[in-house]
Formats: sequence, C-alpha cells, structure tokens
Amino acid sequence: MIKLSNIQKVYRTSTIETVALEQVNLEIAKGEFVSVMGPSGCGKSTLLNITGLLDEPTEGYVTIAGEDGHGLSDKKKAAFRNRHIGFVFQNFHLINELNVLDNVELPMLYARGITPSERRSRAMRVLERVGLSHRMKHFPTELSGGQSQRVAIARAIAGNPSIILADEPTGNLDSHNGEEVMQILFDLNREGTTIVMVTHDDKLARQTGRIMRFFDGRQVL
Amino acid sequence: MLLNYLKIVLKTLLQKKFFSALNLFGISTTVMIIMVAALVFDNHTAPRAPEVYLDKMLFVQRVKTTHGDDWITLNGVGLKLIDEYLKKIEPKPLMSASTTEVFELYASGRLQRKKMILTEPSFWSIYQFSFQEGRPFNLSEFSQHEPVIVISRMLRDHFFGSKAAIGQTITIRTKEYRVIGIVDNVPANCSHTYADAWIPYTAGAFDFVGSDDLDGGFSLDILPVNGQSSESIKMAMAESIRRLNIGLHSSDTKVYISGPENSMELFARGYADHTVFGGLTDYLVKWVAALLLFMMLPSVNLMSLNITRIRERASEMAVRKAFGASRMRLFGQLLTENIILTLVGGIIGLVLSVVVIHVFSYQLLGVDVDQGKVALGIQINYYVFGFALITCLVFGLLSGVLPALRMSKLNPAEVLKGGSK
Repeated sequence: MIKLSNIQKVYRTSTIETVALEQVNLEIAKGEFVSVMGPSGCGKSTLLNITGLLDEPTEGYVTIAGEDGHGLSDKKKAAFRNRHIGFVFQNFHLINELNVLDNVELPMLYARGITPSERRSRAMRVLERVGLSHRMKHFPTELSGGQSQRVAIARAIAGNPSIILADEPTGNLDSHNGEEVMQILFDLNREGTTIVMVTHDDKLARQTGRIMRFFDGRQVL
Repeated sequence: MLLNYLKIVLKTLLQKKFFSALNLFGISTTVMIIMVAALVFDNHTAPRAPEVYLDKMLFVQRVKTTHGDDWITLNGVGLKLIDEYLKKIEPKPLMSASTTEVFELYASGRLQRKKMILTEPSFWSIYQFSFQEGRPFNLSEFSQHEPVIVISRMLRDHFFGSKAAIGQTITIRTKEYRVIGIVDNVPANCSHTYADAWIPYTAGAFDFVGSDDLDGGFSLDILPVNGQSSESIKMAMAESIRRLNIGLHSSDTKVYISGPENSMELFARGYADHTVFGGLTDYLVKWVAALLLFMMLPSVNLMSLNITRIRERASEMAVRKAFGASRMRLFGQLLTENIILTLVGGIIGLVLSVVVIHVFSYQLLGVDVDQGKVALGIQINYYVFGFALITCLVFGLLSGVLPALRMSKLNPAEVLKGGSK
C-alpha cells in the first residue's frame, strides 16, 4: 500500500543544513494501523508529509496505492491526495469561516462527479458517524477540542480515502476525548482503512498493529 | 464551489471589520470618482438629441490675437472672421455661427435667467431638434432680418398655457418676436443647444452683421458632410488663418483660432490653460494617465492589504491543498474572492456615484443654476456602467494576482507543522 525507498530529506538554508530523514525504507500493507514514534524533531511529521505527497523528499521514492509519487505534477498530486488520502492534524486546522458541515464537505469540493446534494448527504452521514450531526451548523470556534478533532476526522473520511495520515490526533486532547478519537480511528481501521499515526503516547501506540520508532531522522525499530 | 468562496468572502469581511471597511472604502471611493469623471466626460462627448452628431462635429470657439510679445487678447469668434475666412473653405461642411444672450423671466415664483441662442438656418440641419409644432426659421427669414422665434415647450407653457402659440408674438428684451416653432425642452447639459429660445442672429436687439472685428461673441459649429475628414477641415481652416495673418497690416499681430476642436478636445479645453491653443490631445493623454495612476494607487495599497490578509489564511490554504486543491485552483479561488470583494466595493461605489451625481449634478456639469433647476439629460448608461465594471475587475486582478500567486505556491507541509485551531 505504502512504500518508501531510500528516503532522505534535507532542509537547507544559506548557512545550515539539517537532515530530517535519512535512508528511510519502509512498507505498510493495506489495512495496517501503524504508529510512528520518536522524540520531537526526529522527522516523524516530515515522514508523514512525504508519505502524503505534501512534501518532496530530497532523495528516494514514495509509492502509494500503486502510484509512484516521484515526478507527479502539482495537479496530479492534488487529485491523488483527494482520492486516496485523508489528513488529521494535531491542531485540527478547521476553517473557521466555514461551518462544520462546509468544513466536512471540503475534500468533496475538489473531487470529480459529486453533486452538491450528494456532497451534503455524505457530509451529514460522516458527521453522524462521529456523533456530531447536532453541531453541523456550528462554527469551529464554538466547538470543544474533542469535537473539533472529530470534525477533522469526519472531514478526513468524507472523501472515502483508503489511507488516513494522522499527525498526533490526540495531542491536544484530554484523555477522555483522546479515547473517543482513537475509537473512531480503530473503527475505521477495522473497516479496512490503512492508518499511519504519529504519536508520543506509548499507550496509544501499543494498541495499534505496529510501531515504528525514529531517532535523528533514522528508523531505529 | 462559488458558494463556498462567497461564504469565505462574507465571513472574512465580517470578521475583519476594520480591514474590510478600509478595503471597501478604497475601492468604492475610487470607483465613484472614476464613475463621476467618466460620466462628466461622457456628458461632454457622447451624442444625444438634439446633439446627435456630436462625435463627428468640430467647433471653433476662441480667437487669440497676439500683439508683439506681451499683449494677448482672448475672445469668442467675430462674424467677420467666420464669414470671410472660416466659411470660405472648400469643400464646405455644414457650418453655423451662434452666440447666446440671457433674458429674464418671472416663473415658478422667482426671477429666472433663461438662455437664447442667436444663430443661422444651418443650425437646424446640424442639430436634430424635435419640433412639437411649427418649423425652424429659414434662409429667407434670416436674410430679411425677420423677428421670428423658435421656443421651448417650457416657454410656450409660460407665455401661452394651453392656447395656440404659433403665429403669436412674445416680447424678449423689449423686442417682439413672432413664434414660428415649438421644440421639446433641451436638457441643460447639452451645452451646444440648450436654450429656451432660438432666433436668427440678424433679428436680435444688437446688429452683429457688418462688424469689422475678427473676434467677437460667436462660435462656429461644424459638421463634416459627404465623407469629409476632420483633418481636411482643420487643414483648410489653418490655411485660411495663415492667409489672414499674411494680409494683416501689422506684422506684430497674429491671429489664432482654437482648433477646430472636436468634443473631446473641447472637454479637455475646460481643464487646460486658456491661452494654450492646440495640444489638447496631450492634455487628454495626461488625463488618462492620471486616471490610470489614480487606479494604481489603491490597487497597490489593496495588494499589500491582501498579502497580509491572505497570509493570515495560510493554514486554510494548506488544508485545501492537503485535501486536493491544486495550485491553479487555489490561485483561482483567491482571485475570485478578490474580484467578488472588489465587485462589492464597485457596487457601493456605483451607488455613491449615483448619489453624488444627483446631488451635485449642476456643479459637475457646469450648468448655471440661475437658469432654474431644469432637467438634465444624465443617466448611468451602459457605457459608464461597463466602464465601472471593468474598473472593478482591473482592481480585482491588479490587487489579487500577486498575493494569490504567492499563496498558491506555499508549502503546505511547513504551514501545517504549527498553526492554531
């Protein structure tokens, strides 16, 4: 499902060169739930961004859902992300100017062949699934952290992607809300969605199918 | 998709009230000023009844006489100059010499100053008046100095009410005239034809004919006919003036005429140095350049405001990218939003300009209010509205392209690392 070969990522400025990832080789099978762990700055988020085709590796190749990410045009990458990948961020990154329903509809705006009414009904369905159908007309600023993250998950799954890339999805939540969010992710994984989750929480990571540990840009386990 | 953009624009406007007010103020004020300027320009240059050939016409309105280096006289055109030089050109276009007088009338409870045009028969061929009754004066009446008069509907109502007016006499400035025609009221902003009475200049209280002066109180209205070009008329008249100057007794004295000028040059003359004859096209070019510069200033200002505003939305743009928006799509979105915003500003500017035009119409169009608040033939026509619309779009594009381009190129990975809820 996901294959990273010889990935290296170097951030360069005029005075300094920082190696974020070095010689990363990994494979994630379809339907896996993988946790990525490691100390801050070890390259976990960079790995997720490269996997999700949001960032380019300095060297190496990403193959995802049978597609070689190398050399894809901006337009093709955007279309690929739209079809196959859903993102969940630690800081939720909801659009404050849009209400919950419009936020969830967002990925479908960029998808082909979905009518406005279909978009609406799909968004309502996923909101119901995350238990927030009663909040669909509210704006993100009116939601709690847990509710915001559930909206973010609804947005991530609204386009029916086969992969979810979650960057510390419970990092800003209390334990109760964190558990609720994890439960949704586990349910999605059970239904066949491949999930790659960056986390600092060892307890959460142990509940997932596999843990990959990183240190100084290298995979150590 | 567009609905989504509209929601974003509306929310952004409401959430950032100060920015929005500043933004909209800049756009609407500029659009208003441009609209008013366009309307004033349109008013002076666009053909409309009775001045239906205004765009083809030429005018000689001023004579400048220089006596050596330090003595200049500026005046209207004298009949001698018109009859003996300007009208001698070949082939002849339609030409009519006119002057104006003011008379007083007690109407609507106050003393009003009304305008009378003293002209010649060709005037009625150059301008297309709508006669309700009667006819214009003819060459025979003109030659015979017959005291005949064509009056406006307003003047007919004032003197005769519902009674028949044709054949009756009216007294203006102690002289009696026989009414031979009644025309529709002319809008006060038709500067070449607006009056309430028209008489042969041979029948006025003052005898102009036979005056030896080259300058005087007349203007010459010229309508090219039979495919004549304006340039050929200008050249022929320049040649007439050259011959006139050669024949003058004093070698120190030189006579110049303004133009013949078209309606655009006449418009520019209103804003130019009165002693400058010629070169009015340069004035117009400067005007247009100033207008463009005027448009550029708020655009540059708006651009910097937009960069700030769009930067604040970096997280939104990154999320949109993550979920499938391509660079071109984001660019299109930001540009669309900007154009929507400028169109909103444009609509406010349009409303403001309508208000300003109606409140200050007499001042803007240079109509003498002492003549009574008579109807003006002004309206926001399609040309002016189109101009405003294009202005808005240019604004939107100028101020939106650069920020949109910059933002569409952002690296979502960098933005999504941090950020807030």
